[in-house]
Amino acid sequence: MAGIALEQVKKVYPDGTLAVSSIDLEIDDGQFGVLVGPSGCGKTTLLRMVAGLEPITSGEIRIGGVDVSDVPARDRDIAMVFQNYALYPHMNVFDNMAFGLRRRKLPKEEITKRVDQAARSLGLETQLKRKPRQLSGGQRQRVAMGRAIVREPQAFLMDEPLSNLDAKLRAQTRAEIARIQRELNVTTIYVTHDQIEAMTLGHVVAVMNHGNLQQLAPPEMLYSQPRNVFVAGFIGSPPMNLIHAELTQGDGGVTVRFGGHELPVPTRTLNRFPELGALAGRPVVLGIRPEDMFDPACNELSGGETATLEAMVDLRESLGSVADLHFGVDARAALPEEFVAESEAIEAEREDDEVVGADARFVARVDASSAIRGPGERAVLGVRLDRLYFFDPRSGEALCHPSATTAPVAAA
Amino acid sequence: MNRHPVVRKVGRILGLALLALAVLLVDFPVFLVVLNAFKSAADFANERLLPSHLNWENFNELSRVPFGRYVVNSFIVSTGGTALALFAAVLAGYSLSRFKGRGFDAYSRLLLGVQMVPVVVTLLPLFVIFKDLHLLDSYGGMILLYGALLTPFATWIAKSFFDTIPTDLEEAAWIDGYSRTQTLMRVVAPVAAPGLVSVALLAFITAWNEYLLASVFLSSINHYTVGVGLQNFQQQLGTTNWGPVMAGATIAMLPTVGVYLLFQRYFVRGALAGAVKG
Repeated sequence: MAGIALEQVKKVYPDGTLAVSSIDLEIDDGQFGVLVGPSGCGKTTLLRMVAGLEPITSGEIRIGGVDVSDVPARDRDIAMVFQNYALYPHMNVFDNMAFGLRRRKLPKEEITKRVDQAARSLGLETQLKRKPRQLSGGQRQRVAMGRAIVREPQAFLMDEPLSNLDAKLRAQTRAEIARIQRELNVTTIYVTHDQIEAMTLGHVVAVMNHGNLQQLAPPEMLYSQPRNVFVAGFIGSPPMNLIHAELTQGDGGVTVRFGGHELPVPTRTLNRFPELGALAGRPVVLGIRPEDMFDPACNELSGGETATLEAMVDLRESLGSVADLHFGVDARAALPEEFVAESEAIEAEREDDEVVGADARFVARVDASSAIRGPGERAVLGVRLDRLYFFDPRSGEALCHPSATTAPVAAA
Repeated sequence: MNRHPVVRKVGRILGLALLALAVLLVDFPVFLVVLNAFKSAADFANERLLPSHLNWENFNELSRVPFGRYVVNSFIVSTGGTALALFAAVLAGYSLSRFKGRGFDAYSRLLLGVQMVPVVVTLLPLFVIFKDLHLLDSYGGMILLYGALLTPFATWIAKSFFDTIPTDLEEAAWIDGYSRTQTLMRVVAPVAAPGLVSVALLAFITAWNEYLLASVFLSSINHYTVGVGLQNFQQQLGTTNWGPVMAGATIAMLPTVGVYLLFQRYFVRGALAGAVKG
């Protein structure tokens, strides 16, 4: 077992495409690290570089303190779970798991012992003689896990291992992967585009976009203190409502205005982030999480300043315990793509005519008992003012985030 | 479509009849050979289409020449040539499937180009070269020739089979600690085995049926392949005595027919390999 460290790792394809730009990343020994980002953000490329399947253009990769940048995959002593499992179709389950051990010339009894043990822990004891094509998707996934486990490698690398499973099985297997990783305490890097997997599995989560590392932090911190608009919009479901707004200095203090709405900025927030007050009269990007809005008619709020805004709800989605209300806001939505710095942009498709529209969509997550039905219903919604996020409108960097102490328990 | 059952049945019978007619036309020479093998000299003289009785006399006539020897020779050079071509095709096909680059492009075009050169054009230079290398009239020479003859098409078909094997499989094997060559032998080739079998069968049959090269490069009766041996036999018998030659041709067909019957599904796959993926 060993920690994994990436230093200024960069990948440029022969045709000049920059896939990963100078990433520094450290996953400590025994930690579960998750790489998350939209498709094409370079997360899989990064994982493949750690595995040794993709040569790095520059930088250094260390596994257990040893520079492995030029070590071929077969000598890196890592195990990988592929998205489509990549089981050897001509071998049965036992041989699939034993294949790597045989290469290492382990004694036969040891191989049998390890495979049997892994098979028991994964519930595959009765499947050992079967070929991969005779197995269900979930079983194949477990064989792929077993193949990694028996190797007792320095690190596990997993490339979207759950993406081929149906929703129910995915949740089950997710818990299983967390359990196995905890029991074996093997350093793990896990790639996914699903932020729920990232939040639930990772000790640390690296959010990537356009080949750049956006933020590396524990899941709770990504949620409560996103470093920029991209992370704010990516982590959390439904995503944070992000909108171009303006800070103004009024008689009663600083307020933030957008699309005909005006919300006071709490003094406590201004005290914690004095810079924010200095921005009065300037544009900002305002972020409000759907779960930080509520229906005043059914929520008894314990502490914290709140304000209300009027909205024309045009869609209600009931999810059982909660309901999502969709409504339009007459202001310009802040899209993460706006903030990709020109120098780092990898073909950032900036189509200016697309962002001039002033019809942002908001989602508010309210209690299921809310009487607001929509569509076309004019409703009054509460907003938790101490939970507002502010970002720089040019760079997209966070100016201020809510204090962690007021964060709700549920992350997603 | 909801047509009357009788209409449907008639349509089906018509279709089958058409197919039968096509088979009869295409395979008429083959049927003729087999029928002639069982005809007596009298049947030939009376210009009968069918033999009057099952007459094995023609097959006995074959003992006048070392026909068994011919069969063994054909088998040796066809198997040797196939093995050589398959070995080259696995390595080259895999490389063409997995590596990109100017050299590989050039090589794959070369393979295609070579296919367009008629064998006849190369006969004379080949003969001179083989003479200098003392490869004329030898098993080794024939195996080399057949190997070279079969390699281009075998490589193409092998490549298209390797193309269908996901690279993830190889990467999994590398991560399990295997080198590229070990991975090719222990993972890629076994997974591609059905395809490689069909390549081998097609190659074998091509070599078995080859006549031109064998007739030019083999000169002693001990080295004759079936095709050359029969041709030689026919010249001995003269133009009127067809029966024994037809008997020999019937026997020569058996391996081909047998291989086709046994491995039909592989041939379909092999023939389709270039056309569709998966």
